Amino acid sequence: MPNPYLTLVDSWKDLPAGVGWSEPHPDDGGMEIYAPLDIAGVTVGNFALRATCFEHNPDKAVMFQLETGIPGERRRQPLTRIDWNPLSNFHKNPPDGPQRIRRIITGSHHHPLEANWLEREGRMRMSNLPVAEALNPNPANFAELLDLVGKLFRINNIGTIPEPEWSLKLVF
Amino acid sequence: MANIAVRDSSFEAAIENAVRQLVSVRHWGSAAYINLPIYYPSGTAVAVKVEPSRSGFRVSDGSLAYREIEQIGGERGFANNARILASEIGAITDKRSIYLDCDPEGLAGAIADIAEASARIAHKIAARVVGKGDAEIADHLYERLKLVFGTMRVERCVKIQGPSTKEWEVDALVNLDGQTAVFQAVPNHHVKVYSTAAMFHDLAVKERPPVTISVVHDKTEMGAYFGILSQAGNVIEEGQSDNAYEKAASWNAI
Repeated sequence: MPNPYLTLVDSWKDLPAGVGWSEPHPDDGGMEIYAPLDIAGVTVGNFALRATCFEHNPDKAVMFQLETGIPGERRRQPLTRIDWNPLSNFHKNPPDGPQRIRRIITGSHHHPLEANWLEREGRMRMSNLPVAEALNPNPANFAELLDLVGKLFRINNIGTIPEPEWSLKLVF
Repeated sequence: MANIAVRDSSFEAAIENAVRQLVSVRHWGSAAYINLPIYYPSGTAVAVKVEPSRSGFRVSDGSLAYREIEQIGGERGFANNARILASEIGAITDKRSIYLDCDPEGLAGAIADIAEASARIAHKIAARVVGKGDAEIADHLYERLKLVFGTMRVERCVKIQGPSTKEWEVDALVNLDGQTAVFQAVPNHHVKVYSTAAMFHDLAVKERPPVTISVVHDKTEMGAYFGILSQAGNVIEEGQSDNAYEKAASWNAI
């Protein structure tokens, strides 16, 4: 069965104007972006770019995800994701994943749509994009990360996303 | 003859390298992140965050369980589930994380408890959220059954009561001459396997039990779950022939 999400991921997309990070959450300093996306001038319903990071973790734990909503449900279907310098150093791939992908990978990684699509069953793998491959080379800074996200997610104006206003936390 | 283990430097190096891929500690600013070989549904390893606190140490999950379930739209379930699991280990929750304060002697236990609880929260919520995706698999099964048995014989999402008095919802019911067959699409996930087995065992003790059939993607991928399902009813693979579907609906060994 053809992958119905392929068009969303493979088409070149545009962010609306004014996309920026939310204020840090009072509990954990988490900051988020949730932005709709245009394809050929049409804002596609229930389709969005999500990004997260933490105020007190500069250049770490940045996540970008393309996702689509499920009509009539609150849950989301992640389509592809990049985890840059995650707080968790390891990712374990499922045993039935593509053979070219190592079981345990370290550091930054990309969850590609194709590797998480089960062709014979005509559906996404369950459990939140469980197949990932290491980013090599790893982006050296936020600007390089944006470049990579723009290429892999095909977002023309990804550069309009500002760098998060990170701050170092003072203890005691 | 006794086996003499030959240990050389490459043997030990390989093991140490493997362990380094499973457990690690990294120090960033005032916090340390300890990776343990316990995994969230996405495959991300749990990384427990340890910071200094007035009583010694604060051990938290660094909001990783929250972030994990947020990616699939399950964040609304965090507060309740985290509170319940936190109470089992004497931990505290806020809106996005679970944590414990401890002294140096309690540090190892706190790290283990928070790691396990954080993963359990994420798995519990993900199972509920992803379970809704089973509907897509059931759709596929329904279409196949209509082709095999004819539209008039197949009913979708039917509620059946077992002798336990519990009302079960089955993916599809096929009405054959004088017999009914229950088809259930079962992904390779423990929640669906156990619930299907429980349902089939209950239906098997009805006065006129239906034939029960689990439809799986690949029997060999199911591992021990295959045994659990086969004890409860017939099992076929979704890609098998029409003839296999017909036979599965007519053979009742229970």
